[in-house]
Amino acid sequence: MTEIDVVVPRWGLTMDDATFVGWLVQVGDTVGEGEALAEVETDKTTADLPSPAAGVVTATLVAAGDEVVPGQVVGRIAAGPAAPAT
Amino acid sequence: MARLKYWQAINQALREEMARDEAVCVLGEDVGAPGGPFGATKGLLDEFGAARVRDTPISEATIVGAALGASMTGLRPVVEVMFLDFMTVAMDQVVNQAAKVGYMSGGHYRAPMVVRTICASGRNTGPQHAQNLEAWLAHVPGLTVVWGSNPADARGLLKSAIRDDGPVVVIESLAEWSRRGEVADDPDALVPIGVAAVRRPGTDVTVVTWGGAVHRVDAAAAALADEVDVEVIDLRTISPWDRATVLESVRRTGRLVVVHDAVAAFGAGAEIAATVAEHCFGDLRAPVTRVAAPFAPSPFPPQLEAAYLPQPGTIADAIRASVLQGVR
Amino acid sequence: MTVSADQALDLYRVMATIRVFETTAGSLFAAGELPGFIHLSSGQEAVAAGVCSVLRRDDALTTTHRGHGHCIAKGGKVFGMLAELYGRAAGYGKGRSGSMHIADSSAGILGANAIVGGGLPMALGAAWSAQVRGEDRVAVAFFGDGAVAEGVFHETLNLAALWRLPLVLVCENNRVAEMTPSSVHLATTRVADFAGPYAIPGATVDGNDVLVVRDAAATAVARARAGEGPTLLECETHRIRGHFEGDPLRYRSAEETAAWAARDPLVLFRARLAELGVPSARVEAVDTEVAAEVRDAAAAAAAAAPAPVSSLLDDVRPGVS
Repeated sequence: MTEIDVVVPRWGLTMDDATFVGWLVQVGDTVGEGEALAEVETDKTTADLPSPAAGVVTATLVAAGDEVVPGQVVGRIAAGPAAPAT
Repeated sequence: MARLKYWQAINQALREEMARDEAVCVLGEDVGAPGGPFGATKGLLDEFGAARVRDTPISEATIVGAALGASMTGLRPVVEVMFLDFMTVAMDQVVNQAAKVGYMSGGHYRAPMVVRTICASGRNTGPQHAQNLEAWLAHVPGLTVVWGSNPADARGLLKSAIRDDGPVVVIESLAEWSRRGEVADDPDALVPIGVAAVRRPGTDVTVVTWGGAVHRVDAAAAALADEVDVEVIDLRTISPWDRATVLESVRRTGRLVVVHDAVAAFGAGAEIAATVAEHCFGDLRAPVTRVAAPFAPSPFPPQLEAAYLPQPGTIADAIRASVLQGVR
Repeated sequence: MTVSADQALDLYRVMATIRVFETTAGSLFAAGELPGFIHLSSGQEAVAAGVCSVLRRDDALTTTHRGHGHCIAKGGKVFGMLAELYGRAAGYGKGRSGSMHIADSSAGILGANAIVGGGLPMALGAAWSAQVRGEDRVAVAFFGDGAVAEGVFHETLNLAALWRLPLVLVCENNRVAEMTPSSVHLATTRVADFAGPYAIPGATVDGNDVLVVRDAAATAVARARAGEGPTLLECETHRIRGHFEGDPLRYRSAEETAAWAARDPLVLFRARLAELGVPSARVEAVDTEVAAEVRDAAAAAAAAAPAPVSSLLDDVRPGVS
């Protein structure tokens, strides 16, 4: 199993920072690749932060209202075939 | 006082002026539903409706001309020309039409219009998206040209421009887009056109600057604080520029360094240097110097653009040289 | 659209005033009385008179370097115009801008314009402001076939169509852009064809028949006023004089000149007035009155004070009201 960082991407020319609106998932949730993990608000718009891989959320490192910057690690996913629900 | 980002201050100024005066309308490429190419008109369409907030085709000349015609017949339009470079596409309407309509009509008409345009210098956008063309505009009688370097000035100058009865070009710095600053709560708190700001009082040397260069000059002045007492003047209005403040300062310090991101040749710095030479010859204790971009297009990659734009180190060197080489 | 004898005579008065104004200006220019340069609209009077006869005073108009006729037809004062041509302080632009820059806010004349196509976006803006303010004003932009090759022509058509603006675009197609014939400067022979791609009505009419122009303009203006959007109206006409006064007209044949002389809009309309039962004495009386009006205005303009050097900086920057 590999741990993969959830990183804030750079969306556009002027995204120097952004506001972390909130998590849409919590630690322990199983997610698919591309699934929205959180909402991030930039100057222009509010956008979904997609999951970099299918797996299980193992860490959420920022909270609603935090200021984040492109490249910042905000969470982690334990990648791999989704474990059967227990 | 609220602490806003540069773009939020612009957004607030537009919102407040549209609420204050229903003649104020906004038009331009992507200003409506998309909320502006970089968010400056976010929310205005929802708040004020499609009649007053208009997305337009990519027709710079015609949308500027339309703003002019509308301004002559009862509106106070704010037209956005996305990048300062794109003003060249609209130059007939800006230079031959808007700037001169009051004069040509013998005062029959006025053109209370604003052109908002973004200078993306410093954002690695390359030769056609990063030009500092303020001198082109400042050279035209009848045009007012302002450029706020921080959220409060961006807001206050834009509001003054909207309330002005002539055409005003408001240049905005994309490099400063996310910079935060204190902004007045009073919707009538304006930054007057034609009045420079002394950002840092000093006694040894006057540095005049504006736009994106202001913060690099601040950094240079701060770095020199133990050696040289630098007076930093942010011009804020490029035309008509605040001669009184600059001349008074140079008479006191005896030294002038002009710093701008545009190329030096035929730039606004040359106008300021010449004016100081004409009016402060007896007060000068050192040659007037300019720190500006080299005479070349604006490069795209970060390392080249950083070398192209005056950086704090280069600016500090020029300030130090002015103090050292001059008459004590 | 019917026309009464009185309405017809009013149209004739406008056309005759334009012709006498242009002839007078041409003579004064040749005599060295007027500085700079002038561009006369002789031969195109029916377009100006026909279109402006269906406009209200508060409707907006932009015109061209060849705009004397449109300004007169819209209600511009002959004295103020001649004083401007003379460079007198009493001129419309305080005598500082000249023949190509007549503007009169009391008559909705946003301005003649020395840049080909330059007035089109301005008229578009006036139409837009009427729409935003909920007023039933319309805007009219006069331009020549030369302006059709400018980008702003197409941009203006696109935006006017897109926003359904109360704008009437009137092309005076005299088949020559300065000194270059349409066959050399335009990809089409019919300017009105450009209405098609923008999905607005377009019409080509005889621009030397004032009643035909008036009818076509009435339709376009009514449509604009009703909020139904713009129209491109092409008026085929003929520029009697050269591009500028002093142009030797080497590009024009004697046959062409003679053919159009027979279709001179004033000659045609005098015949029509007779058909409408207007006595020739009334027509001649108009001619006499108009000649006297322009002559007196020219004399007054000649005698008026020159624009003073102290006015150089007036109206450059209005400031805050």
